Amino acid sequence: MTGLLLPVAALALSGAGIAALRQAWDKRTRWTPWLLSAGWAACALAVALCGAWLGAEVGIPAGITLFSIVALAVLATHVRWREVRSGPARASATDPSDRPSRLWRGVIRVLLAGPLSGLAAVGAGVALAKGLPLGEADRIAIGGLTVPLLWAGGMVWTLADDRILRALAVLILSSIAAYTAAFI
Amino acid sequence: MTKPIWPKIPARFVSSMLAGHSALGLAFAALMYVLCISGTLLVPTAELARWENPTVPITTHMPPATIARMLETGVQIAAEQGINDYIVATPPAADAPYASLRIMDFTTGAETIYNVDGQGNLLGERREGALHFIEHLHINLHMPQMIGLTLVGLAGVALLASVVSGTLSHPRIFRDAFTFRRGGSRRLQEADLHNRLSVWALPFHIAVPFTGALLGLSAIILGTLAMAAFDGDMSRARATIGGPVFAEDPAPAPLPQIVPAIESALAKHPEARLQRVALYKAGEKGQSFLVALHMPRDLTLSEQYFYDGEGNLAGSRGFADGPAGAQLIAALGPLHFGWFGGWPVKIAYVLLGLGLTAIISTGVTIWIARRKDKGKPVPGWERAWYALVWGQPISYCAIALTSLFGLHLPEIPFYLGVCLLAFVPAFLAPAPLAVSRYLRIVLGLMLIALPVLHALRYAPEGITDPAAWIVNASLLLSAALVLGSIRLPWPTRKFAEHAPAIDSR
Repeated sequence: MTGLLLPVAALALSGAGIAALRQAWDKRTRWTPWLLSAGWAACALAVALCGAWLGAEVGIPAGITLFSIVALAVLATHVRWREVRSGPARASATDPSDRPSRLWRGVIRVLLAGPLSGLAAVGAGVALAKGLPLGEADRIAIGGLTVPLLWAGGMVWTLADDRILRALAVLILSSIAAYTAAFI
Repeated sequence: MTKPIWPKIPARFVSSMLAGHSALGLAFAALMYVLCISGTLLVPTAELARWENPTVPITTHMPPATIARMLETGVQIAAEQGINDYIVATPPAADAPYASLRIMDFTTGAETIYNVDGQGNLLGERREGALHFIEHLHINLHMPQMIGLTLVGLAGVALLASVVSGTLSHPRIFRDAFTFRRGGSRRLQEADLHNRLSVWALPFHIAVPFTGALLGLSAIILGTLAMAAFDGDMSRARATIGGPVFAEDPAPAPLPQIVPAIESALAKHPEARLQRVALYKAGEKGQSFLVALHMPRDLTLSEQYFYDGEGNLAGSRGFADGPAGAQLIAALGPLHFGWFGGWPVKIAYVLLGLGLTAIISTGVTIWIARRKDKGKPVPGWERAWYALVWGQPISYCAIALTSLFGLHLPEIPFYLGVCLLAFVPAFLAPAPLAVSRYLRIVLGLMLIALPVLHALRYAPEGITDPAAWIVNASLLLSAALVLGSIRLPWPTRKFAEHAPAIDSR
């Protein structure tokens, strides 16, 4: 029975936390900051309880996974069914920006987001793996973990930046800086 | 009224982010979809392997002496094939309650897995069906290892970038967090599903592509970093990342004493469970073996202790109690596939994996709806997308059905053929949504056929593993959901067929 106490408490806290968040975002009142704080605190406590139940290494990711599932379950109970509408279009929200579509811009954008961002990310990873004042395994792990994050960041930025030549220049400069730091 | 605490994001920034998000999503949509749906099916790998081998007797415990005997049997079988590279004995575990013996040839990459009973006797080769195919589809797209892994890793980076750009292009991320509308305009409906699933499962959506990118690109990234960090000394790099390295010596030697090593490792870690014992270069002077222990409160699948040919402990990989870096690397696989925390996490990962698959699918349908709104419809792409979306699970079911009856068709041409067949309704259906409906009927029927035929095939032999019945029940439930989604009286259905899509996110 006591074995079930922690997971049940974690589940209940997650549910209560998400309900508080829903209340806070649904209608803005003077209680909103309190509800937000209480909601996030309950969710954090639920994750901590999972950590206490399964051990921090397993319990914390398990608790975060539980949080997502509970949140989606709460969301599923709040579906708003709407009538079929065939009238004229309402004012639209934000659309993707219209960019000049020329072949050379597309080619440069692909090169920037793919190989150039990758090269810059690997350069930064190598710089960390060589330069961090840590043990060998730690340096390689941190350098390695950094690469996909920076590569993804480079992809996001180069594909989003409407000024493509600025993106090209910054990426080349940051690659040079990374490789210089790594090998000098 | 209080002021919002979140700063207002400029509309131009959101537009730019959306443009990048859209370009990235469309460029990688098909690849990301295939990887997500196949990855979701790999979460319950142990249970699906049990479903494919439902007549193997359940074993709950195996003493070290039996495991050593299994390995000796494995060495004999391998010797008959002229190999001794890698022989692995796996005792029963909670999620895989039977023992197995695996023999691998490093030169050709060929491997054979045998089921083993509680006394260590071989029961015959393990049946491998759709699971094996899906595994290789997810890991390397059935391409040469290096090319496939790199492509998969690149798709992981692209998915991670999509998650970041999608989040940044969401100006009302908190205000809309609980807004979930069905019906109305198609674009709005799909955008709500896309955004709500994305936001609430954000930790999962960051963790899975991030770990996937690292696993896919590990050979390139870790190889480059290790080479740079160790000034090209790859043996030192291998030792740091992969554990002790043993010098090769092909002179013959007796097999090492494995039982004392297992007993001593378990004595030092009484909370641990023996996960596997692997013998390298068996019968040579340069042989070595590893004892892998699963630590219940560690994220890593196992800690690996390496022994030389004399049975002396040479070191470990440090996955359980070594440097933080080694532990981080060891956590990538379990975090990616949900192989931690037992069946509740597995169920959650399957649900979230299906959610991520739906996010990718709706991402494309939002684009299709937006094109329609702007008066530039793309009905051909719409039909093709539905064919691709539903063609994947249909092709996996088709492979599972053929392997159920031992039809060893060439898997890749068969898979590609079924995927292509799924495009036939795209040419014949009267409307794009009809393509989706026809294919869902086919999938639903296949999901019914699978458990029925599985029971008919194995019931006469005696299904000993309850996991087989659980998987069969899950298949029937999936069939009900797929077929039910065709008949669901949602306003969406009426709307999608009779009214133009006009709203926006």
